[in-house]
Amino acid sequence: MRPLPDDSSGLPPRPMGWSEADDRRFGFSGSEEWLDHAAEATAPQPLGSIGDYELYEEIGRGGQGVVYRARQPGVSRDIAVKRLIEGAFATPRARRRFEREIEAAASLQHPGIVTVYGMEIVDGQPVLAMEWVDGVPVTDWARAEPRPTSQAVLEVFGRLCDAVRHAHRHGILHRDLKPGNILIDSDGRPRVLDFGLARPLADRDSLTTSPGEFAGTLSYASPEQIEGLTTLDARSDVYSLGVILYEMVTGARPRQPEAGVREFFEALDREAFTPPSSVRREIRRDFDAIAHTALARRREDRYGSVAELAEDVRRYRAGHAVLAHPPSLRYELGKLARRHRGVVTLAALLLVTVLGFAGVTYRQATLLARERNAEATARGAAEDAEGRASSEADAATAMLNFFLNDVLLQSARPGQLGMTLVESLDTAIERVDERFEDRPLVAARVHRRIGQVLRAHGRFAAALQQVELALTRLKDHGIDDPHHLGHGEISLGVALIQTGEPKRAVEHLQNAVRHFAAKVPTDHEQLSRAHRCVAEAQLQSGDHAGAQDSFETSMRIAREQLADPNDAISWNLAGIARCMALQGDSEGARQRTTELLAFNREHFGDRSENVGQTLETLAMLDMEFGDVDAAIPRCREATEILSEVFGPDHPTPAHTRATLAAMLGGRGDHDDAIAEFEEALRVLRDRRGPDSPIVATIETDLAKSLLALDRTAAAIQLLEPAVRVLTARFGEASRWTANATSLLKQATAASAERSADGGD
Amino acid sequence: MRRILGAMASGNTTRPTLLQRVRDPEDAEAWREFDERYRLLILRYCQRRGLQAADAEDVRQLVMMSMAQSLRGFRYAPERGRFRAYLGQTVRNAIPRLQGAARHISHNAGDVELAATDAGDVDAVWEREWVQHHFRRAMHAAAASFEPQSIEVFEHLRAGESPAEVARGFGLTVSAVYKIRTRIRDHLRGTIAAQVREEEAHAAPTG
Repeated sequence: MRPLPDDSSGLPPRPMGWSEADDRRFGFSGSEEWLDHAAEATAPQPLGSIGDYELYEEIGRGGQGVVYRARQPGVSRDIAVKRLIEGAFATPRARRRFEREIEAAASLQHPGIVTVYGMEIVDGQPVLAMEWVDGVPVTDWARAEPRPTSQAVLEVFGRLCDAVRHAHRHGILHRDLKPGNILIDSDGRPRVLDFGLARPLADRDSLTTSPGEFAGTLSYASPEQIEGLTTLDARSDVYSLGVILYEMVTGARPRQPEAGVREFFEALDREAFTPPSSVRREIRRDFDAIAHTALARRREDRYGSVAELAEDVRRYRAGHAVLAHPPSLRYELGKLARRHRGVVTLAALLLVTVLGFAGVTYRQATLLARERNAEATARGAAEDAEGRASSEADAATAMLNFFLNDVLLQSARPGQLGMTLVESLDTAIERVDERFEDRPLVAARVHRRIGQVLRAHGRFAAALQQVELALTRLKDHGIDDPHHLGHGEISLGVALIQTGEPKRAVEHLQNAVRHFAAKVPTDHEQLSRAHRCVAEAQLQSGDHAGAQDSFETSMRIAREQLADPNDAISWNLAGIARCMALQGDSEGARQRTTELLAFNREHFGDRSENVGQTLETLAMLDMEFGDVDAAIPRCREATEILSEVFGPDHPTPAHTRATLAAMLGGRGDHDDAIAEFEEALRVLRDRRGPDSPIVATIETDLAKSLLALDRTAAAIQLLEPAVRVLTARFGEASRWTANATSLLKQATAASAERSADGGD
Repeated sequence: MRRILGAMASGNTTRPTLLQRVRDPEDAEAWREFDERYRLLILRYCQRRGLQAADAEDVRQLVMMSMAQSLRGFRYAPERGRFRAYLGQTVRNAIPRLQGAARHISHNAGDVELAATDAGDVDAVWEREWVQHHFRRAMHAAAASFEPQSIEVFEHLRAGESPAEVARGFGLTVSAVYKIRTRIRDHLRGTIAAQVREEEAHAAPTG
């Protein structure tokens, strides 16, 4: 493998693997042919045309499009023409977006923004025509000799900000501000190109961005853009402008990914860069603060708008104190006002994107907003709400991301289609703690929300597990905020009622009352609700007098303190009536309930949940008076209404249906009763599981009707497992167990008798 | 022979070549580099064959997608030929696959007589573009290795000026200009040889 000696034209020995044929192919064999190749390799080639546009040269290529300098026949001036880089292979979505963005960009009319002439479809592809600017990138201009003074640089930057502000006022972000997109024209004016045409970085999965360009883009992209956040706002452009300002003034970028991407991100996280004042002598220290505020890692710490940035630069130029503060001070002062906006934007986003979760979180955000506005209360209280609003926004973002990525998107992955939301929620549950390991508050809230969703779907045991986890998470981390603890205790208490542990529920709900009572300012809505939940639990555990007291307290708070107390009044009146009935005052209860029905019809409508529930209560009170013929149509109407409200597969209407079935059985309409029992059990077995004591008591009632029709075998089949479940749960002596056991004996005897008869 | 050279070439370098890297679907950066490296070759070849810029872009896009598949998957069979031939074939195949491309052909096919059915001619066009592609890369590398003045001298030579004219323009002796020309020529030759070696290393049978 020794290199062969060259035989001609003074060439050095042939490189490894290089043959004489190779020398001939590349024109190195004695002639000047190689120089021709070298010349031809970069000679411009005719590009042809796109539609009417005659193309002269390719002047740029980005993630989205290729830009050419072009001319139209009969028009003497140059224009720029941009075509989607994927061309015929662009997805319809990418095309639509391109067209929409062109439309938006075309609507901007500002001397600092390159004019978009319009869009044409050529051979089925959208093509954008815009003004041709013969200029130099803004940073090249700032570096050129003779170097512009820092005053001149700042003046140009101010005009650049004006152009960007104009677009922001029209709701258009640039998203890709970089020197290549900001040209200084022959009159020394900055001109911004490609407004609203940039794609989110996360979208750049095509093969078309070159490494240098990618690194360049990275330098100017905001941290949230790099992280792939799609809900960018003006502060993302503020960051990019900050990099450009820094580079215009110092000649270098604050952080350069070319030096190493890891180092770049580390510097980004530490917010580290060389202070401009130490690079250029005439730059005062105040300017460093401007750079720090514009280039803050967290957008909350940045200027809230380009206007604020421009104003501070203007103040600096005029020699006034700037509004930006060094980072250490910044945290102490806290830019509270700016944080309001985050909540509002987030709330709006939540409202349109994420179903039920969104509703709940949105509601919290609006409650917080209301809380803030009621600033007439103590100033300290308002600040507390402020602080929570910002962490609320943070937490809500984290939660939203979790629900979007781990739940919603999961259910939309290939192979997972058809997965219900609850199923994908199940798969996501395991990831909660891992995902929010360092954020116990968020973990707790995600657990609690999942618990609420599971509860709403009637999955009470799974819900209980989640809300227990939520509370544990809070306590493990020593979180003592009454707001969070109160909500945690309420969720746990409600779950315990639903899984049949009312005594434990009472304890937790009384904790909730204490937490909400301790909170300043008092959250009357939650306090009233907590009292009502205590009452429910007391009622379930047999403390009827205590329950009535709690309902009364809840109603009093609602009447005195709530702007919209109807909901609370309705539920509390129903509760009080039930307490009266259970304490033997059936007449008083029936009267209260009749009043309540009228109240509910007026305030909530004839087909509302409240009316459905009240009708059921009234039907049960009718039964107390032996008025079964009044009770049955009421209970049937209640079942219908609640089925409409909750859907036919929800446990709530199923319970009402079981009540109806028992009434029908009591009247002797066993066929109807059996049909209703079976429908109720279909839902409840599914939702509560086969070992549920509630299912067992309903099965006992069904067996009674079956026995009345001599269907003993079917009755025994139901009663045997029911007795087992009820014994395990309540012991042998409880009246439910005793009831089922006696029916089972009766059925077994009847069966034995029949087989004896058959044997004769 | 080629196998040995391929093994040597890859043994000589600790860094995997670009053509090895693009086989890794995770290496998006490699694809960006790949696109950047071969983009002009493909576009210029298409333009030589008379395609409009837009159609050339579509061919490039199609070739990239096709290469992404064949390089990553099992369909790329090195024994089918060198990378150069393989890429050329992919580009040629892509052209008729593009609907509507035909109607744009031959508008501006001035300098190259085209007979699309004549494979010999078509190959000659590809050969020439491939040679120029390597010159472009090598000149780019040379720009970083020589004094700016040497590069400027070379630019003038490349533009067709005689060494004597260039020497006058720069205030150099003619022999100094010749010297620069020779040094740059040898540098280009060495660089191109290394580039081709890298390409062919990849094309060696992998077994």
